[in-house]
Amino acid sequence: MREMTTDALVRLTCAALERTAFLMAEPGDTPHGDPLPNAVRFSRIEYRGPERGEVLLAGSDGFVRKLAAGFLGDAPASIDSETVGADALRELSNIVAGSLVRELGGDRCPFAIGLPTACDVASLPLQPTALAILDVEGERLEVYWTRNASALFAA
Amino acid sequence: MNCNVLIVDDSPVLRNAIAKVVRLAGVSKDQIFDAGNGTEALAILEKTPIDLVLLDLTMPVMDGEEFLHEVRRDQALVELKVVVVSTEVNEERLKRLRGLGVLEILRKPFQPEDLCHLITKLLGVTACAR
Repeated sequence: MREMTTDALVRLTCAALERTAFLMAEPGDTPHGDPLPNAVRFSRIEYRGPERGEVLLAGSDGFVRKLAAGFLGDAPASIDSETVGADALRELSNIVAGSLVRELGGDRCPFAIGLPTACDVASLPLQPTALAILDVEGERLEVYWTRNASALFAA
Repeated sequence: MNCNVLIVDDSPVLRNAIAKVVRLAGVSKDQIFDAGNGTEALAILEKTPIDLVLLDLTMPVMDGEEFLHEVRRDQALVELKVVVVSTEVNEERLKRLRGLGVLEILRKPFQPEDLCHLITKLLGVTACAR
């Protein structure tokens, strides 16, 4: 398996946002910038194969609205954050997980990706392998990647 | 373009987003059908002549691969054009899908133009005239 860094996590998430939702992102919560709004919507997805792991996305309300609006070509204000926004976040977690396992395993990737599910703040990993905090046009997106040794899941 | 297109994806947002691209490719709104899983898609295929299926793989109830097996068992649907639109990366699975007659595999994230070109390529101006 290849190694993944926080920079790589940022890169592939930015690419997913730009290609699917026309959203520009950059590393967020820098000392010189305004604090980003809190994350209030969460989605997680697992993958398995030569190793197992999980990607968890946490976004602010404004982020999920912008994300869904970008997918649909609509105005963010017209987006219902609880339904459409949450669905868009689940889809983004699916796309990020797909890009991540391709990064890990290359083009002949033997991984399988599960179904994304909504979760809550209690699901955030305490010690993720990598965490990317992104400023997406003034809104917050956090991407947690937790790599689990396959032995932990052997049963 | 006189073609019926079926979008199969468990995400309503993605179905809507893909439908917009399909319309950009020249397919009218009333010729675009959608389903949230393979079972729903089979029900639509029973009632409606479909020219192209844009198929996600990982879905609840019936996933894309099961759906394809069902489709290819039906003599009337053996020639149905199918494009997989998915994050799937498992090469073994992709090989099986090609064996089931999948014409193209478009990996998410994709640019809308990529899908638009693919639809135009597969459904030329006269491809679906009926």
